[in-house]
Amino acid sequence: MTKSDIENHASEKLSKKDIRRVYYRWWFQSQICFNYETMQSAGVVGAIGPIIEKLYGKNKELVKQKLKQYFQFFNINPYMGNAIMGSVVALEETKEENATETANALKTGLMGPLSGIGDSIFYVIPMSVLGAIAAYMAKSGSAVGLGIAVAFTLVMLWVRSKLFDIGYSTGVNFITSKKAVFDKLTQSASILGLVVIGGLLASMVNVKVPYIFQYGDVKTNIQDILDSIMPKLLPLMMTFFAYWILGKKKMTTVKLVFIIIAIAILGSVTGILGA
Amino acid sequence: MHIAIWQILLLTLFAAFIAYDFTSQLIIINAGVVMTGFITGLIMGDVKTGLLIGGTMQLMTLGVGGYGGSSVPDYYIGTIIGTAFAIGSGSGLEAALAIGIPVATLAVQLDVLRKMGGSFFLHKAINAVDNYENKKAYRWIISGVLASIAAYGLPVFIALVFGQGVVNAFIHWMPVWLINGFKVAGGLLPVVGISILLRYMPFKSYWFYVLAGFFLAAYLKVPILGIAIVGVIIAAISFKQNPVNTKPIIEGADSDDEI
Repeated sequence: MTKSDIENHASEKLSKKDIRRVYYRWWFQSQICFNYETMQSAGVVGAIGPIIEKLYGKNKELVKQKLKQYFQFFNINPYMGNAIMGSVVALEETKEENATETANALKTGLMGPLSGIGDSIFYVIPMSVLGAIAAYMAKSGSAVGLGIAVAFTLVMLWVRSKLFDIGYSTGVNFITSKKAVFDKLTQSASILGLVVIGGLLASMVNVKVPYIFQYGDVKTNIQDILDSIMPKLLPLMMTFFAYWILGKKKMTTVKLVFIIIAIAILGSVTGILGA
Repeated sequence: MHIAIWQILLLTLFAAFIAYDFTSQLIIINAGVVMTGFITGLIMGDVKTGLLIGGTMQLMTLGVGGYGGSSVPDYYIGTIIGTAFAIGSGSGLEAALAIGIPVATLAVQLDVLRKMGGSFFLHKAINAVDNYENKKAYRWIISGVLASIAAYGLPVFIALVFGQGVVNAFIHWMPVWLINGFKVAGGLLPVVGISILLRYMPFKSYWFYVLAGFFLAAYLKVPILGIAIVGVIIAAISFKQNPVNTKPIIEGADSDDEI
């Protein structure tokens, strides 16, 4: 296929609406067909395909060739994926001969770094902080924290669409050039996360020692002694224990869950631990 | 056990939806487990218990759950099943945890089924493109959601329909020591989510921020939203003051620990 061929078969230009639709399609189908082989490739084709058809509509062979290329392995944080999808649309719109090859190179090159940024800023930290707040309020019967989490997610929809716009109009290089800012944002977000974790371990881990030590006539309430050293000492120690044991080789989340349950049952049966 | 057929159907639909939602990071991803408890409670007619169970389960997975491709218990499915059976049988958090946690660990396999199912739809889509049937290809791609529905909705449906007898027997059998054990476990299990997150985050170099949050809650009894506000303030100060070229502290930090 020569360049003039492509130009001859080029049909329409993209409208604003066409471009917007790529964002919506990526939003709801980025991982709808997630699989081990190519992860999000089908999501890419589903989002970008109709654009390719519109740009090269009459040349069925070329459309097929391009779609097949987009079935290449791809896996990215779905939020950051917006920036890449925006850039891919911009690239295809130029109708350069190597647009799809360039787009795929861009996708492959950036999926790692952008996921690194996206997973912490858009996924792990918001989920942890909002999940902690929602869980805290839910345990006392309030759904307010849940409302905060939903409101945040709605705001993030706007952020997603902004990322798409940046990718389309400024190019995804804008984000990589701002890497230092994103790194700082990541760092600040983790500080927020760490402060909340500290509060969470003091307020949400609840364990007491109901055991009363008796020696002759002297009764000693163990919990009172612990409290006099430091409030929430036991939750703090349990957290450090879990943190330490999680660092052991071959330790998994599942094993940790069952170890904690075993400790709880044993502690409760022997009367050492209480709720 | 009182779970009506319409409740089972709604819970099945919800399980299929949440499976699609949390992988796609779509709408209710943040605080998703609390939301699962809330919705299940709503369907079962006891929102308060639903929130309590969802909140307890959420604290076992705070953001890193499902992250990085390693297997973590599926607390969404565990919460649906645990909450439905606990409310349906008129028991509380202890029964929900005793049922929900084993279910959550078994449900890990469902993710494997879903991704394998995804491959089927992927190849159907590629074949359609090969035959110049692009519209059909897009339909196959969207049909990938059927993999989520089959992998998550079906097991939940089966568990709720056929599990009632077994679960009923189990709840009636549950001896006092086990109930008390799970009562203690309910207060202790949040250390799971917290310690996973500490492993993921740069705890070793920034332990003092954790100490600050601990102090606010343990000594000053500040509620978690207030602690988050202080966290935002400290984060903002750090953002303004640090030089821009700081090393990212999340990437690579403690990341060699397989969780």
